[in-house]
Amino acid sequence: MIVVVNGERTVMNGEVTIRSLLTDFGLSDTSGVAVECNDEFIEQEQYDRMIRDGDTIEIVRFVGGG
Amino acid sequence: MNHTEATLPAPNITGAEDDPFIIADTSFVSRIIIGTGKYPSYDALRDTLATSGAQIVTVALRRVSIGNAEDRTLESIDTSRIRLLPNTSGARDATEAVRLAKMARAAAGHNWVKLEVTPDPATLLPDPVETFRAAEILVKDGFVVLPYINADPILALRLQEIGCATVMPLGAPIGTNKGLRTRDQIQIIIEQANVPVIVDAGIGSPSHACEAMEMGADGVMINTALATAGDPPLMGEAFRMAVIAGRRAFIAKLGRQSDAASASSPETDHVRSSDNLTGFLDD
Repeated sequence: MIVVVNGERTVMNGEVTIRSLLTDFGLSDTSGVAVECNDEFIEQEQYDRMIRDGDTIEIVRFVGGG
Repeated sequence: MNHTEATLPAPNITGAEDDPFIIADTSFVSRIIIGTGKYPSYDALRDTLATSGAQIVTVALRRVSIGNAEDRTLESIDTSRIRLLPNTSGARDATEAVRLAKMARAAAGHNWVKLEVTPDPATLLPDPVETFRAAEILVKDGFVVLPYINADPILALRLQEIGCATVMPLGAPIGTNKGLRTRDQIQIIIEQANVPVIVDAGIGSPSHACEAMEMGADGVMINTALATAGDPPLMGEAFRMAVIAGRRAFIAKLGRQSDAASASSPETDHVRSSDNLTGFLDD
C-alpha cells in the first residue's frame, strides 16, 4: 500500500499499525508526540489502529525552540 | 595582605511568593520564561533551566525525521515541575498556526500555546493580521493563548479584548539581542494592559531584562541571549537575578529623573578654608 507520511510517499507492506510506524521512527516512547491521520487526531489509545492504503499521516514531536 | 571581610546578610534572591505571576488562573513565582532552542548541549539546557529558575519553557513542534530523531529536549525538562509552553513557530499564516496549536494540545496534554505567526524568515516579525485571526479561532476552541506580537499597543488591546491570556510584545526581532528597541510602545502596552505583559524577543542581556521589569512588565522571555552565551548556566543565574531586581525596583517605585542637579548631602554648615575671621584673630 502507498501511504504519505510527513509529506513523503512511502510504500508499506503487510499489516502496519500506527504504533509500529512510530517504532520505525525510533519513537517507542510516545510522550511529546502527536499523530494525525487524514487530518484527524489519533489518541494514544488508538495507536493499534491499522494504517490503510492512501492514508496521509503526520507525526510530530516537541523539539527545542523559543 | 589581609582583607577585612564585611559580613553581609545573604541576599534573598528568589522570586517573591507574595508577588505571584498569574497567567490564566495559574500562579508562578518566577517571572522569567525561557526558550529551549539553540543550546550547545542538552546538559547546558538542563543546567540553564535550573539556574534561571524558569517555571515555563517553550518548545517547538516539528515533523519527526532522521534529523530530529536524536532530539532530547523533552528529557532535559522535568515536566512535573515545569510548564511546557508549545509554540507555533514556523507557522506562516493562521491556518498553519491553528493546526500546530491543535497538534501541540494533543502532544502536550494541555491547552496552553504561544502563538507565533512569522511569514518572513529574514525578519521573523509576527504577522498581526494572521495572529489575530488565529487567536480568535484558538480562544473560541478553549486554548490559553499567549500571542507573540510586535509592540503595537492597539493590536495588544484587540487581542486582550478577544480573550488572550497575555500579550507578548517584542523588544527587537528574534535572535538579535538588541534589547528594548520598542521601549516606548512597550511602555504604552504596559500602561493599557489588563492581562500580563511578557516582553519576548530581542532581550540580549540581563540589563535589558531588568529594564523591562523596571518598566512594569509582568515577565520576560529569553532564548538566544541564554543559549548563545559563553556560559549559559551562569548567564541563567545573571538573568534570574536581573529579573528579580527589576521587579523589586518596579514595586519599590523608582525616583524621578530630573534635568537639574540636586545634592544628596546637606547644603549648609560646610567646612570652608575662606572663613572671615578678621576681628576675632586681632585680639
